[in-house]
Amino acid sequence: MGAVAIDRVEAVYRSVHARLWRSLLVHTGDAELASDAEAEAFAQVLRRGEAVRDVEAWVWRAAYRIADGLLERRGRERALEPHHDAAAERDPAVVELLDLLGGLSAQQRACVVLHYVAGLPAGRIAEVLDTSPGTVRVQLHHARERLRRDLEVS
Amino acid sequence: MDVDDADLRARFAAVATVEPPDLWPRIVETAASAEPPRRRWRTPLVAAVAGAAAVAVVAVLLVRDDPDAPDPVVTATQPSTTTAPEATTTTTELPTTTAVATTPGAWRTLDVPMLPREGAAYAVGGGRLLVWGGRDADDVLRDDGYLVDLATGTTTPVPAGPLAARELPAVAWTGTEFLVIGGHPPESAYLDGAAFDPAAGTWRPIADPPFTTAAYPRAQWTGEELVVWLPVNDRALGVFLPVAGPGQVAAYDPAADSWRTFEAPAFPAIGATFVDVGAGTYLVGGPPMEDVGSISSETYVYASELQIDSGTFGDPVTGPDTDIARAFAWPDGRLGVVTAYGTALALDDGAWEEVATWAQGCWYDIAVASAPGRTYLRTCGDVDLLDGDSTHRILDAGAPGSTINTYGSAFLVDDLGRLVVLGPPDPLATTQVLAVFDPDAPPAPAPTTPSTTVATDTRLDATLASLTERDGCGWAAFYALDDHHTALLTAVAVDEFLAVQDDPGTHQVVVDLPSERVDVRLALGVNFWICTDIGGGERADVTYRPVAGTAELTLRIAPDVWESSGDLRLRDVVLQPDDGGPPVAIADITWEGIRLGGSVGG
Repeated sequence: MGAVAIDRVEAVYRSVHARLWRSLLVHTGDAELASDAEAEAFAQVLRRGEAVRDVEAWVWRAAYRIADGLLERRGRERALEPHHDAAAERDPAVVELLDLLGGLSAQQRACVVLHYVAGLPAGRIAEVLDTSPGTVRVQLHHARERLRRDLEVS
Repeated sequence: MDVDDADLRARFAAVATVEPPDLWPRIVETAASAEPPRRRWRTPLVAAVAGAAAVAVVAVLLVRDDPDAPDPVVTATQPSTTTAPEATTTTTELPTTTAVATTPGAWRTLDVPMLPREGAAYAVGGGRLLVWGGRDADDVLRDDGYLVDLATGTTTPVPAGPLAARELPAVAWTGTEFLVIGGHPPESAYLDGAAFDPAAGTWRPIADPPFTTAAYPRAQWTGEELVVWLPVNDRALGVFLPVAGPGQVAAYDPAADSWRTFEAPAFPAIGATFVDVGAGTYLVGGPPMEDVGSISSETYVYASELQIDSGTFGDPVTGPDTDIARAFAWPDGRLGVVTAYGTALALDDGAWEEVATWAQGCWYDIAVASAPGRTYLRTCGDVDLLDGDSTHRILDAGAPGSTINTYGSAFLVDDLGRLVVLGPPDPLATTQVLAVFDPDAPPAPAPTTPSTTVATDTRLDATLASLTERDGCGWAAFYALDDHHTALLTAVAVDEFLAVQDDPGTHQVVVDLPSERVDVRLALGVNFWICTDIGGGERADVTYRPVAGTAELTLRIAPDVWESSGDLRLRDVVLQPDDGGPPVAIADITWEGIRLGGSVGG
């Protein structure tokens, strides 16, 4: 990997790291897994050098795929148990948030995390999740409804 | 508590207090070393890793070599049951003309009274599905199970036997018994087995397998023996992880209650499948375990010494996204594989021949030059039953009779050629959905009840519509006409749908139809659905006529169209006035809003 590629990727890393990592944290419920996924995504993009045209888009997409793969390997439902993660446990509000998201489907959860935590518009979320913007909007709608219902019940 | 969007945003803002670690040094180090990502495993990792093995294909995520290109995601689904809305008026008479050739076979959906389990052994035989072991909803390992009658959906308890509670054993049907081999307690593995006779409801112990280690066994009944293969396993990480290297293969003879061993191939994969092609049994591998969660991998296909030809046949396909999802025997006896992204190949005289490739979409027929007259099918429809499969890749396939069937979820083929698909476990449910496709079953009978009028007085009754996701095509409104007919109106404005859903009761669909009689022609996209290419072209008749001072729009759809396609898609709706005036396209119809009923949902 050349210096240009490293500089380019590092610039993207500095730009998106906080949002990407936090969104992965909420998506997976696991700080270490979030770190694993993000680090592997950036490492892969570094290995590819200049072959990757849009580093930021590639990293978002790859990180979520890697995170989902790691989650699936480990057992998604168990991974979403908020009490497993020390980083999340430090903040009761984060624990409550993770618990709340446990009622959503995987796609709904990814959509709301990318929307509320990462701040991505529907079109970008669709690119990350490899779906359509319409699907993202619908999933966001249903997710909000579910979250509201759950909060009202609680 | 009234929760608005600001409340939700405030809750998500909590995560901003969590400070992310600096990963950059690790990223540079990892990239330089080209090592796979550091993985952590902790309890209950056995279930997680074995879960991947259980579905036969391991790769869950792929980052393609062409990094900016979209990954092809093949979504394999199956027809869902359409719920008939409450009829308001009934006017449609169904014509009997044959529009397309009828697809043989029929789906049945059963709601089985069975508590969900993960990691259980599943096998079908003798018209019954065995579900044994696994973890229940309380995460407790079980030593009992269920027998599900595939005809009725009723269950019979399977009592505990000589085997301790466990998950992910290998299981196969011999014609008279279910043989259960190996499996896992937490962070360990069993080296035993037992046979269950479903007719008598009794267990018998069998001789212990001659393995020195046991993890993630795969088994195949050859007609005389049960062949069991184990990958090499490494406990260096604290749990069993299959790694590259020679595995172990042995065969069990139920008549002699004895095992014989074979020299196993160097098989750097998990998720292998046995394929009995009549003249021999192939052991066909998947991607190496090390690549799971990393990048796409090469595909390995081996024939063990059990085969008619020993040796390595090489990769059937090359390049990215070539994981083998499932190996099977073609009806002509050739070894077949289907890749995770929908290419079907056959091994012919030592060389791989591509016999079918399909894109995203629904059921459709593929004419295969090398096998004229044979029909290859994919399924189409909603993914409700398989909603738990977030990856939507082909995980399994089979070729009963003259068809190949692929699904985005695990399924089993029983000894009658029927496909049995078990829905994803729902921890809160007391039943599980089980779908059975019988290729020999007669098509569903034509509906005897007339369908529902979906539009009267120029108003399309949107209370009868439901919003459903179509793979890769966004969302669309369906109008359930009756149990057998569904009209799908494409190009629904999702935002409008959602807007009126948020504000029910204030909108109605108003279709700006002319008041004089017109003939409405509907082009029905039959058999497949691709966003930019809806094909098929079969027609249904729609009439529009004044009724008592108002008007009525009636769909007349041939029943065999429905039966052959699984659903109907309306496209290019054109209103052609009788007086020869210019046709009105669907895009020109005025939609003022949609009022949705209770059937709305994804």
